[in-house]
Amino acid sequence: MAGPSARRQPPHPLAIGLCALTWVVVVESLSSWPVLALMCAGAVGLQWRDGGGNSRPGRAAAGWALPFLLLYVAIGSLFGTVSETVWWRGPHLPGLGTLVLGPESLEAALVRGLRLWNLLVFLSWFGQVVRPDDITHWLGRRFARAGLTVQMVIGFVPQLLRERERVEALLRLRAGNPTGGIRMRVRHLAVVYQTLLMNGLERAWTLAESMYTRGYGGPGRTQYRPPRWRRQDSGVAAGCALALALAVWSGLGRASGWEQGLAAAIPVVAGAWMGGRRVA
Amino acid sequence: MLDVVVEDLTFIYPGAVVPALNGVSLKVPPGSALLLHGETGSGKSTLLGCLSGACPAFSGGTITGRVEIGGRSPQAMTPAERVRRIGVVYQDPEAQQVHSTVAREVAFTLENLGVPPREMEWRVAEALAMVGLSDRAEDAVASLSGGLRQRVALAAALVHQPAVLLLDEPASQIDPVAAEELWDVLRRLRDDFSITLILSEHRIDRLYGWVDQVAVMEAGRVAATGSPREVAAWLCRTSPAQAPVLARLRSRPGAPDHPEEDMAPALTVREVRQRIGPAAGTPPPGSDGPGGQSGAPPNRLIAPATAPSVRSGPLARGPATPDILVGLDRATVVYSGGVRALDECTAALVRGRVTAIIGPNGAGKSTLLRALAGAVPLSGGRVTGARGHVGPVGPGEPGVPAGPGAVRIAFLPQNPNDLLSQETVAEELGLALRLQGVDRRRVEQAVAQAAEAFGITEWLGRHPRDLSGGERTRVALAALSAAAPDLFLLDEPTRGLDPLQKQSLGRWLRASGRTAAVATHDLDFVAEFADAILFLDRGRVALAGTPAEVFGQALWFAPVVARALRGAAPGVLCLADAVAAGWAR
Repeated sequence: MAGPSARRQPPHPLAIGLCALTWVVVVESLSSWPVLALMCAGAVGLQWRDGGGNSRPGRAAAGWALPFLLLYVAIGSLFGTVSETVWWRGPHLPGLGTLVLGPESLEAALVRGLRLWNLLVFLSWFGQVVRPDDITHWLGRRFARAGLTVQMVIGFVPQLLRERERVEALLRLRAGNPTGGIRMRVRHLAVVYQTLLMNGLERAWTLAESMYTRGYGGPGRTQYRPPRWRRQDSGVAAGCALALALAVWSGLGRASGWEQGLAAAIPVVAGAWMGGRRVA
Repeated sequence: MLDVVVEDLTFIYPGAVVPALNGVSLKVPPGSALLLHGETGSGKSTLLGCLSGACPAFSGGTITGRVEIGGRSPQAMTPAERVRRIGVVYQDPEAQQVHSTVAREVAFTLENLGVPPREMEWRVAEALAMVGLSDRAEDAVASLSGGLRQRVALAAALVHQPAVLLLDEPASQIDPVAAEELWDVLRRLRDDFSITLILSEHRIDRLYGWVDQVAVMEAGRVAATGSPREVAAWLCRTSPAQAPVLARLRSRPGAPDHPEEDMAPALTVREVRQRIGPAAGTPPPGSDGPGGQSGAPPNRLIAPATAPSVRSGPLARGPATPDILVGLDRATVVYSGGVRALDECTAALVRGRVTAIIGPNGAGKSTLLRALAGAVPLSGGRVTGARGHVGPVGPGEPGVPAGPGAVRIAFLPQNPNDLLSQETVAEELGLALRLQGVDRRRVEQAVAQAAEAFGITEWLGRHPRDLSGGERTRVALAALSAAAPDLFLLDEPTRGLDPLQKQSLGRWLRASGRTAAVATHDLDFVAEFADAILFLDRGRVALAGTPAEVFGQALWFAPVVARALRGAAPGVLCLADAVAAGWAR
């Protein structure tokens, strides 16, 4: 029986790519820290929902975003430019200048920090939602081989990470924890990576043989279920176009608070909709 | 429908001196199934490679002789022609996966052939329906179990409707239940769609019951070929250890082997039970030995739980008050996503005994081993027994008993490749000791001893990755034993081993006198070599006891000999028991 997710039409890869582009442009163009903070909260929410709140990336995104943001702002605010109001003046650091804390430096650091963490959390979420097939599509028929390679590498990386953890644990059981200084640690690490390399080469060989027997490399390759551009994708594209226009407007310093808010809300809503379709 | 003809085929890998195949001749009629049966390294995979065209086009090497599929040589076919005729399934479903989702993976061959997208839709749907995966089309391949992944690989090999399907040990990475399902699908493919099947496999017992032909391979040659019954009879005469287990059973204890010409060996449990006839429920007269438990009620399917095993002497050992080496007390392991792999599990390993851990897929067998090794954090409960250090001891102490409370652990994972990193087998065997700082002379001594114990001295100069799957398992085990562990934790150690290798592993395990826990689906191995069994279900020990106690109660989780002789010889659980009781030669 088809579940609700099976009936939903997934978004087009280009719509997903456009949403990502819009997010990045909007974040870089916004100057209002409350709007950026709301957008950052939206990114954390998306990551929490679609990345799995209980999963490692989910916990990391939600749990580490705020403390690191505060730390970044605390340090960044001390290196601002001198303005009319100065709350605190610190010592002079050679090569870095004088530490100064004021409202402008604090706000500038806050905006920079929110932009950075917004993008980091967003990219973490994007990694959960985007599928390897999307990348193949972005690269198009002209670069189909490169697309397939990227797709396989993407599938290979998490497998490699899991394998490294496993091989390390097995080596610890077999030979104990490395003792005797850095030399022994390096020897242990060399054994782990040698194992991974050999496993990877063997797997690549088997995969290549499998692809050979399945006829890969011939001319006139076609694609299974090429994604269709639907009305919903047009809606996403129109929304993203509006957000991009508002972002440019904001970048020129002419956008009001509510215009900036609208520009931020559009990619968040589009992301929530697309992530729901992909991950559900 | 295409036939397969191989005539005087010889193949030599690049740089090799000895041919991997030497004068092989075979003929497989269209729509029939051929089983390639032989020890590890006998040339089965190479023969399949020559049939698929991968040898020598992909592997290199020199081929002579004739190979034809439907009158055309795979080596002379265009890629499209070759792919349209031949489908291939390999051992490891994970290693042959290109795309991340099931439907896309199945469609890969069609994409390569340039099939229009509209046509792909129904072909993929049909291939998935054939293997019973219609409802998993949009799932990620990584989310499926090993058995389901192998079915995805099968669908991917069938989607372009090949006339010939080649399968290289397709069940070696999956559990017996999934293997049964795979055999059912293959049987249907042959019967309903007349697909010619050529497969190699080590778990042959089930296959002898339904394939049309068997070719026994030895050192690159075909030693025998014929119907399964003919080949089974030939093996019983010439190499009983390789023969299917059921073919070695007699109709009554001590009966002469096949007294009449028409008494060809039985190949299924049903055939064995029919031959035993009324005796299937009646104890054989005059047999007061373990094979004929006098007093067993007639036609009784469930043997008494207290039926003693046929074992005696060292196999029946067991202290009155068990000396627990290591155990778990109400241990709980929760993986990310909230999966409770162990749920307040209590288990113990008795010192010097072999404990088998059996149960359905996902029951928590591997996690139990990892918990005993201290390699997975417990969410609740504790490890008992080894009060002190769990893991390898410090440098300079191999062969020396560990300190009070310390347990040296050897952990064999399901995939032995995770333990193989060195350039030669000798270096691999000495790796753990070298990393512990042991001096070279003692390392060499330990390596020589371990190599001798596992019969791999002649491989010491070879690269471990040049060996076959079963051989690698032996090297990994030898490497673990070189560090003189107190406790062996073995996860599916018989996977990929041929019957002779399994026997030697079991015998070594028993002879070593070490404590061992073996998580396995190989019930015949358990019946023959385990002292105790823990039956795991949903993270808990659901049943524990001796093999006689557990297999006397279980129907599905019982070895094939116990199933065949149930009621007739309740205490007979494995081939060794049957031989001892006169039920098999």
